[in-house]
Amino acid sequence: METVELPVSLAQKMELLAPYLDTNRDVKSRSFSLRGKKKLSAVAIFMEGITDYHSLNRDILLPLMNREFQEIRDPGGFLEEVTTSVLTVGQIKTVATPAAMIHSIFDGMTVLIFDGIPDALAIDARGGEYRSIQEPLLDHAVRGPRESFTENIVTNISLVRRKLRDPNLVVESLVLGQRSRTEIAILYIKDIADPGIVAEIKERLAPVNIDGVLSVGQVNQLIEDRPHSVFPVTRTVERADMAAASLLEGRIVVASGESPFMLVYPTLFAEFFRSMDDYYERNIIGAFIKPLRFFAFFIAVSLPSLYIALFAYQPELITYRLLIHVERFRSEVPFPVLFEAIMIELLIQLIIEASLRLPTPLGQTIGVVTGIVLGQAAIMAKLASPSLIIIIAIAALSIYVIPNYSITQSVRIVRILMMIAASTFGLFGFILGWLLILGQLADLESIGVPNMAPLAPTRFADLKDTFFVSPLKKQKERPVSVPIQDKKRRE
Amino acid sequence: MKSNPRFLITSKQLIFVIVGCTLGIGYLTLPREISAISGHDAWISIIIGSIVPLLSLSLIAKLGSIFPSLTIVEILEVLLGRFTGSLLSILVIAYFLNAAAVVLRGMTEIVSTFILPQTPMFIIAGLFSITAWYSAKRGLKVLGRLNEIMFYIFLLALAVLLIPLMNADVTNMLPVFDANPLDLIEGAADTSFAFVGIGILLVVYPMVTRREEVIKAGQTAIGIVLTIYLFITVICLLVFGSESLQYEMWPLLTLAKTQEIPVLQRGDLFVLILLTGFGIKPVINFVFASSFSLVQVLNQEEEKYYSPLALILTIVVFCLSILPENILSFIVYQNLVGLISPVIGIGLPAVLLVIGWLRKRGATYG
Repeated sequence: METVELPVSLAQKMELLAPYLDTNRDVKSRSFSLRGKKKLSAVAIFMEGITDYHSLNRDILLPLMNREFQEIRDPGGFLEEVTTSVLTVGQIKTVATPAAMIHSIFDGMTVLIFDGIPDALAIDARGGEYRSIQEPLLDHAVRGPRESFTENIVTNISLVRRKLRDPNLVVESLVLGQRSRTEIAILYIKDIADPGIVAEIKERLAPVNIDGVLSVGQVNQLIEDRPHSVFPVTRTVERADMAAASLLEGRIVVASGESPFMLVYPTLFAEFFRSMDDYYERNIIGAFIKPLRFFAFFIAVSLPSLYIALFAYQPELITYRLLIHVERFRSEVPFPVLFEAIMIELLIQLIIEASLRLPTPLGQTIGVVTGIVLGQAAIMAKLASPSLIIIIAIAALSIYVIPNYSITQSVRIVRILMMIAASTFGLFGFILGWLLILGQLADLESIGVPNMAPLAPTRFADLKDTFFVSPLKKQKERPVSVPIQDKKRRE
Repeated sequence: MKSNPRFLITSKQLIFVIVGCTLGIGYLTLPREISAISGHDAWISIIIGSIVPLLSLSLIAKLGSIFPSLTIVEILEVLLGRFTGSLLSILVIAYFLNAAAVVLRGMTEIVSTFILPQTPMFIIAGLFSITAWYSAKRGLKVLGRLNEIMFYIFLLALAVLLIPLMNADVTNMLPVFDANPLDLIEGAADTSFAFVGIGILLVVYPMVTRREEVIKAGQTAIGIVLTIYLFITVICLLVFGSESLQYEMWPLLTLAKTQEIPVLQRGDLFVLILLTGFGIKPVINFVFASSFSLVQVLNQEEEKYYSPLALILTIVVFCLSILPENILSFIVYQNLVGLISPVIGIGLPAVLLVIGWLRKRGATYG
């Protein structure tokens, strides 16, 4: 539609809207007339299901239909009168082109058109059904708040605002996607976050010409530095307190309408191992658990491949007694170690994937039953050795020790690649695999910030919080691995 | 060009880059080789030997301060003209390539002897080369971080070596200063291959964000390397004694063999893996240095040509590394490179400084 002006007469405007009204069952129109010296016809167009009927009836139709209107002198004055003195609604915009009018209708606004007045009014009387605030699915907290984000961006932003009442918390918005017209919000604390990074993020979102943006995952791919790398460079958070904590550290949080997650930029690799629980519980517990998580990461990636490398290639490296013990079971298995390992690994991956797809009660049962039954049967049929099943099960389990979901997916892939490397070249393949992983990790950047900070480049000040949990009293300064403006948390 | 962030590092990362270039495989044979000449005062020789890299450092830093934003290739071209400069640059590049090849070959030998005896050498060398290229092609910025991470992990591996101190016998190192001073100097001369890494400063000097910290960073790096070498040598001397040490090809590995870690019965292969894995650092760093210099010799855009050249030069290093026929010719090769390195490390900057001083009347450079 060209940027022409809206026609003056009501009939012509209705003609423009006719194709939409006729074919769509949920686009409704309500004609009414305004009282006055001269009867003025008007039509309200709205979307069924998205409009709050209460507000439509009470705040829009009622005052308009009850009022005695004076002679209309000029269209602008009339609209102004309606806006300022008649409609008792919060947000009203004037719409001047057919394209904007159509878009407003499909954005869920209530559009008022009048006979004899070219411009239309777009009123935000939106309501509709949304999922209520529930417990988070992925970011579980044992002792923290339990409110998770929902699919309504306004609610989500409000949850963050409630945690951070700082007037310096800025919420900028933009619209992405030609057809989805998704609302995107960019949140940051103006005097802490680095303006360069904020500008960079806005720049990456601006020129995007894309048809629909359906979730934060897609938004992330637009912003991210290296969308092809195995490891994630962005964190997704499901809870407002996590978003607020990141904002306080000078990060920028991006929310997308219709998605119960927010993205945090920039992100460091070490942050995938952080859980908000560490800060809500006693510090010393964090001192044990945090290293445990790093260890779990190492195990999840390395354990099966180490097992393969040792038992298949360098059995002389293993303590004699352990070797005998394991080999006793293994000797009856008709397959070589590698094949056994891949088979069980595949089995576990199938179980995990299947239980993800099934509805919750069924998923748990199937997972448990299949795991136990198949595992036991395999052992009894001498198709697999118990030690290998233990190893792979431990590795599969340790992945989920890591608090962040996105990295667990990467670890699954990396683990299989390591198994292939170890099975081809033994311990040598194992070490080469790790070298390749380190090479990849060293290259990762999140909006220009090296992902491996604070380890490399080393920032000693941040290290104590990376591997341990620093107590609140010691947290005098914000972490400096990511550029920020205001370094002190408190005096 | 120099402000291309892909090729910038901080002075702290410079420390780790230099350390990464130097700690390759030298420490595996160092105790034996030096004690062959200096006996149980080998550690003194090593300390004396560290003068060479320190001298090299100050000369290169001086050269760099006169031409602050130029790499060695550019300095050569400026001082000696395009043709001679390019010719000498190719020689410097060849030096880097050979240094990388020596380390690569050394690692391949060890892996072949201990881990994969039946795999042909060229496959082992090839795999190392691919891994080295995977990291080297990313540019100095990434290498700075990589060197840092790997150094910390490497330190953990070294910690395992503290355990054999239980078998240490201090009398193995007494009396001190027993050796003939001439032997000590000769021993010090033999350490030259172990300190090869400082040469990378020729290429990397202009890429450090704060040039005034370069000398301090270099000294710290040499200090770290020296400490580690001393640590290893002293432990070897304490446990073995300088005579028995002669019978150990790779004394450090024998030392690790005595470690019994709970599941792994022999610590040596485990530590070997770690140490070998980090021997790849000099290869990566030198491939970077030579590729970057070659790009400059060819007078091309860094961005576009660096990665493909890195690939080509990695292949060259690979070929060089499989040239020696057996371990003995490899040792000859290693010593040869060890001889050339003070020439490049000290001789080259010294000569250039003289030429620069002679030419100083008039033009300013850099």
